[in-house]
Amino acid sequence: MSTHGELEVVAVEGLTKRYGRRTVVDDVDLHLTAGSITGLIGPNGAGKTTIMSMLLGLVRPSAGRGTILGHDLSRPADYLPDVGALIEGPAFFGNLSGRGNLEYFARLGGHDRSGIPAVLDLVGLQGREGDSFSSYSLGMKQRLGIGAALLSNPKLVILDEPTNGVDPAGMRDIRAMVRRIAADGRTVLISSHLLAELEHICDRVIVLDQGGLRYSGSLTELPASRPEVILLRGSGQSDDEALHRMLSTQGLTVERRAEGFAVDVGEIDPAQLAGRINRNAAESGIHLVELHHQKQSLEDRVLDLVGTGSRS
Amino acid sequence: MSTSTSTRTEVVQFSSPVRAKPAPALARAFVAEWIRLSSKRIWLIALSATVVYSAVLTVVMINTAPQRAPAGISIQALGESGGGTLAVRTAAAFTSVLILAVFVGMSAGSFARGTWRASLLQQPRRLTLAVGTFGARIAIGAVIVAVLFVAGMVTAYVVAPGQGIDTGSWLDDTSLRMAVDDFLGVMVFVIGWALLGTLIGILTRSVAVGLGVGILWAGPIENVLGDNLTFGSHWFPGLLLRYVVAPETATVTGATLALRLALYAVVGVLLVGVILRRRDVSS
Repeated sequence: MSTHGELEVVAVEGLTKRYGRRTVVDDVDLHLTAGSITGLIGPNGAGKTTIMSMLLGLVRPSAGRGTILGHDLSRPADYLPDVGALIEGPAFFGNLSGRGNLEYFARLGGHDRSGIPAVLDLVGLQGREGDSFSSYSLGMKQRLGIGAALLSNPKLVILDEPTNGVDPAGMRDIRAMVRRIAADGRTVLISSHLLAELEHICDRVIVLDQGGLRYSGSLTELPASRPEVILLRGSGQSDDEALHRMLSTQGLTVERRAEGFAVDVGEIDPAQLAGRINRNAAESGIHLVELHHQKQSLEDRVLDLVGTGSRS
Repeated sequence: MSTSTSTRTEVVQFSSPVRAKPAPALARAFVAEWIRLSSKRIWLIALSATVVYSAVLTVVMINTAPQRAPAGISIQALGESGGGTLAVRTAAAFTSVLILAVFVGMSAGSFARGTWRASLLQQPRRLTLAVGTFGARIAIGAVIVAVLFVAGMVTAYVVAPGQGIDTGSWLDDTSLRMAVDDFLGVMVFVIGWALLGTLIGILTRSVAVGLGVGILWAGPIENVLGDNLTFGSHWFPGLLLRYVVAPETATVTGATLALRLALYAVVGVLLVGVILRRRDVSS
């Protein structure tokens, strides 16, 4: 149980992976609570896939200990029957159909094959399940990969970049699919370098950079390096000057920017502050052409944490 | 660096869902692979190619057989007990590179395509998975070898009279025992090359590189160097396997041959086991 009283499905500490002198994952702690969707964020090469591979027993950790679903991390065969995963992209037999592939993996894992139609329905492949896997689009392959991860009716689902190469509509579908998976009470760990993707579905995020943990916690608590502001602009130079005088007399912290004025929200409710400014401006005869609330996006906050750019 | 929002963990004990008891993992790996490879298309291609290969080689061997020879295939030997399977057994010796290529392709391909990784997510016990899938592939190989023998014998029956070969003793008890021995010999040959191909595939994890290495070994190194070096003719694994199906060419026979092949098999299985257990699975 975490300090917040939530059940922990994954409780791993000091997870480390070294290849020779190169450390690709460095002393990372992971705590996933039951029923949560946790995003693993970081640029390419941050160590996301390596961490997932270690949790799945595919890569042997150089250091680290803990439990997954109550079983020791060093004994993946004990907990993997209750874990479903898609890692490093969907991998199937090209000559088999989508359904044939699911049947193969269900047989291999000793799963009930009567559940396959429901899985196909969940991932939106019903009607195409008889087609050869090699004829599938990348989006369909990703869906089949998610379907294979669900064959065992797992308690923990690990999805490595499930939206890779998928078009915007497909991304939306996969997001909805992940929500449905978690709605059944499963715990989901999902990685992406497309930060906006995770912002929509995750309860918590784990931010990685160069193998190290930079942040672990809720999205709302992800630290912002820039203040939350109300951005506004008058209709002309005289309006702007009047606006500046008005804001200054109200004791607000105002910054002049190329696009207008930025008023620091501070502890004030941004909607209330924007409404107050708008009302005061109208009463002062100031014509506003722009007034909106600007909050640092998850992407900006993460980029500030890890520095910018990809290292792949 | 190590940070976390949680500091202390209490292990979650999930209740196990009610599930029908699945078959043992080894059996599941075997059956899954058998069914995967048992598509109509694969059987059609494999069996028709086997029948054609067996028929053509049998015809060629019988038609080119000398009247007498101290060992191996000859018109005289073909007319004795075991003559019905003599040609097809000898023909099997030419399939080494094909067997090697097929098994290199299957094992290296599973790494290159990622299906090994995907399979481990369903069956994390690596050796169980490897043994089950290899067993299924060998079982399919056994069916193909059986078809090879049947097609070879049928062809031999058709061709033999034209060469003046007496087929009267081809179905006596001695012939049946010899046919079983020949079948088992060919299976040893198939398993040996399959193990070598699997080992090369696992080591290289690349179909192209694996095929290159395998063909280089099975072709020039085994057949040119091996045949011309005393050490090679006594120790090269491919030549030792050839002696099983073509004993007339053997420089090593009997218990020595069996022991050397067993030694290679043990080393090969250990190597495969250690590599699969220890090596990280990543692209």
